[in-house]
Amino acid sequence: MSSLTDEELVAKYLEAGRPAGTRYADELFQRHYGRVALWCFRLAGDREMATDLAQDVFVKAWAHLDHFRMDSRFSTWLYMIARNHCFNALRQKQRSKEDAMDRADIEDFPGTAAGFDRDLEQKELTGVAREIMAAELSPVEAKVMMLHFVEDVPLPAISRTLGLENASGAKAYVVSAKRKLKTALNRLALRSRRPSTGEGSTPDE
Amino acid sequence: MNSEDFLRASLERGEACLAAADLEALVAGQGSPQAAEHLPRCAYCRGEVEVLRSFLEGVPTAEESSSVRRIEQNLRTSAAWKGDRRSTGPWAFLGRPRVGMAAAGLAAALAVGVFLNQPRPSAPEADTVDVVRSMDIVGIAPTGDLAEPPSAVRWSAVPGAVRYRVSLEEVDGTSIWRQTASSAELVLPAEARELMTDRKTLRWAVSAEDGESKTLATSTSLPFRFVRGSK
Ligand SMILES: [Zn+2]
Repeated sequence: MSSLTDEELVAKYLEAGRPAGTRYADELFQRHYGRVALWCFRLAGDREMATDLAQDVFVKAWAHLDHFRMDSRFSTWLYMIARNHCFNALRQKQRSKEDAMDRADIEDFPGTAAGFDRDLEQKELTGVAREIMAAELSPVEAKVMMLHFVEDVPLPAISRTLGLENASGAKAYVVSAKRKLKTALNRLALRSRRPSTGEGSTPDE
Repeated sequence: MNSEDFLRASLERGEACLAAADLEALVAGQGSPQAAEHLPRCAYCRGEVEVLRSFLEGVPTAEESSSVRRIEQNLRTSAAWKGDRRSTGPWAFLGRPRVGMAAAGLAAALAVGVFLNQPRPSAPEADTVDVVRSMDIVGIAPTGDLAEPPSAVRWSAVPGAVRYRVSLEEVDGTSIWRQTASSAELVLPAEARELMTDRKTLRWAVSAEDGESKTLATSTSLPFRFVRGSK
């Protein structure tokens, strides 16, 4: 059985059904215990919560294995389950805690800067910001920003997951990404207000 | 729109964003032309590729190793995924062992969670869920980052085993090299060590068989990588 790929094991499992195919699922899941354990441990930061998260991931994977359609590798499919489950769990845990403090220093961000909204439609502004984010952010900044602002992952968990040295590691990337976006948006705002001033008018930061 | 909503809107997943298969191909360095074109224009997908990479290729540091091993052991001994849940709904967690609590040494909670709600045929055999049952097989080495390609792999012996099958795998589970051994150690030949190129994460696993080629136990796969110049 150890010579079969993950996807071949799933195929054998689907063919045999439950309970006969359970041994294939057993082999399959065993191969990924380490990977899921490490992921959960880095996100949770403690063994107790990580163990519970990892168990939940496999309970879900087992419950949904019949629906795996082979449109990605099994390991990627498992990642999607682990990702969604763990991010949700962290979000719920965080909601009752201090994460609001993390966010407070974001409030000076230029999204609602006076004068700017009038010049660009909100939707257009978001489109421009998307382009700037993609163009300006380093790979690590993109990761940190996506995890923190889209998935609500707390900064210390991001630092552990990405192997950034310490909690201020992830925060430093948020600060630098914000600065880049702010600079780019300011430049754009000025340009859109004075369309005739041409290239040389880019303001200093 | 407040500033946080604005940030989220400029970072979140869009209609053109990549599917799981595209993301995994990019991690493997084999993205389609369309995916390669999308990536530089999307912070979300760039982030997602890197996060998937951290899942697929993560290697525990020396500090993380023992905790990760313990979590793995708990997963293996509890196998909660096989449907130990007795009930559904908000109190479902009472019906299955929360091994995290056991790991923290909460013996009383364990007694309630495991032994009362989950009658077992031979409960006394496991005083704690951290006990490794005799039929388990645990990989010992290599694991983590190594200054040189490892010369051997070692694991815990399994009573009654006459043969062990060792396999080296890519991080996606594809087997790239196999060998059998008759004791709980296998010296790796040059052909296997040559597969361990600088900074490439591989995993290895071992299974034990009895005299009738019946599998007695299978280990979890352990990640390791050779990093030139590491300590
Ligand atoms: Zn995208």
